[in-house]
Amino acid sequence: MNYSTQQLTASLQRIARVERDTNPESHKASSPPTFSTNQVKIPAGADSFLEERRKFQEKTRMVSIGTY
Amino acid sequence: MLGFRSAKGSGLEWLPTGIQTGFSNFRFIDERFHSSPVLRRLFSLARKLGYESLVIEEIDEPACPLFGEESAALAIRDSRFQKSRVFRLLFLKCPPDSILNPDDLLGYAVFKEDYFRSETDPRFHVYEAVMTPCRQASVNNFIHCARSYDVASALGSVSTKGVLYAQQNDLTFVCAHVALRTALASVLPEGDISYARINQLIGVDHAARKVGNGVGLSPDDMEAVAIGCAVPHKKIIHEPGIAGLAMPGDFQRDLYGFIESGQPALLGFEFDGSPSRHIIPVIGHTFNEDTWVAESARSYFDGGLKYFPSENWLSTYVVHDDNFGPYYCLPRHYLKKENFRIVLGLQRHDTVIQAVDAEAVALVYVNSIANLLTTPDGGWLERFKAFADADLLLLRTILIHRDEYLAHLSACECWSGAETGVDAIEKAHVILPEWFWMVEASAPELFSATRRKFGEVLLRADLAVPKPMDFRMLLALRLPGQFLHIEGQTLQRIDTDTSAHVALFQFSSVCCD
Repeated sequence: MNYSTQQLTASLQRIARVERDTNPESHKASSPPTFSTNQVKIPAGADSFLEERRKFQEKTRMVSIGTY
Repeated sequence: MLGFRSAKGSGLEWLPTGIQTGFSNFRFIDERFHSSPVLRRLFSLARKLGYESLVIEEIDEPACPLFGEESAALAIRDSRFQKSRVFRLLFLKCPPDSILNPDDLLGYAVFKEDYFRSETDPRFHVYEAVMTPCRQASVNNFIHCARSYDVASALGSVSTKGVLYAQQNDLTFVCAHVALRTALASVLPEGDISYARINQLIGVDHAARKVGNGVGLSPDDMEAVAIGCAVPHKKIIHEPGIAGLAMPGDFQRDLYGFIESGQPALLGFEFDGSPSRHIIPVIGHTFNEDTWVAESARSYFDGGLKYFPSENWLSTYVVHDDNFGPYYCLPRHYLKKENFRIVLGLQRHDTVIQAVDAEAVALVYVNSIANLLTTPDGGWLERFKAFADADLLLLRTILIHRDEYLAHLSACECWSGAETGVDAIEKAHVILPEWFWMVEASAPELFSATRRKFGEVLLRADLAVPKPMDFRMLLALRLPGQFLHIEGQTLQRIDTDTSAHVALFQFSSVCCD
């Protein structure tokens, strides 16, 4: 079992224990009603894949090679 | 312009073809239609559909303006051209001499013979055909761009549904023409486009500029046709022989992005050991709900991604190949990147980025926001968070119209019968633009077994990805029990009653219902 699956398994086991011990009807979200997007951290480098694609698409937009 | 499917025919023959009658597809095609291999494919599809009779009519040139247009083009292209003969074949599921029901037509084909001086036999091709797909959504075949076609005959007008197939004549239209025709026929309101119109848009007049005999259309030509028809599209190329033009990553996910959004795409490739190229229309896909690929790619091989793209469950692309016939299955990854050269994907609405990019943005948003969710009571919101935290979410990206999404949101319900609730639906109605990206978030077992999901991320389709990335593209997220929408710098939550998983979005389609 890889790390991701181990992590998921542990989480699901914990959720199952919580559910067993609480009223199923009470599974309502308890997150705050609003978040500021400033609270949300976007990891650095998250857009590197997108930037590589953007550059390639820009470079090839006017390219027309070969016939079909 | 009146085409071959609508023109009045003559010399009606109505033949019994059921297996019990002893009718042989092979013998009939050998005797009447020059052993055409594409007709063998069409007749074999008709056999699989259980056809019981065949109607044959000849179309006379005076009865069909399109016939005259084609003859005029051939006469310019080759002065030896003499005449053509055209036959319309109807595959019916009723035996001869029945009263035709509206759904008796399983498909039709138009077979064209072109005669040239100094050639003893005519050249021939299937000018067009529409067959009902043999396999549909019930067996995991998804062809969203099929449509209905009315077909005339001396027996009355009947209709069939499918994706138009056509074969090149290698003189006035080549593989790019027929691939464009298939793709555009599935999106244009009139349901077809003539070769004369395609040639007019790119300046092929058969005199100063000719096609055929090894001369084809360039990517610029194909884009000019799409632009001339006002059809939004995106081009992806891979030219490994030219410095800087080798595509980073894999073309398969880009191709899938167009198909999963319900539109056709053209797929071009280079032959092994030859600079020759060919292009085919991709019109749908099949789905393997028990695929080993998704899990094994990440566990054993260099999967690389921190989520499961729904493309992992794709089994084959459904394609037409004008050289062979309609509805072939092209296995995912059979066409290798070294042969791949171009995807020209049609879109229902122009977008700045493509499905693959939208999916990457959605992953960043969903993982970032999942960190803020607190769910002490367990339930499906916490299961969503657990899959997000473990990088095991599955994402599926579709370009969607607001009305389609609102209908989906209104129809969504948990297995308990709980529905979304009016507050979220009303808010979605107010805040959503006409077109946007919907990236559905699910778990592998939910997606593949019951076609359900945790929720979805909605992204603007009219923006480029912000640099550095911020939340400008985010419109809303729907998760178990809540609809989060962005207002300025805040995410506002509206509680919903769908606190568990709900059904995935499905396109309505004439061949997928």
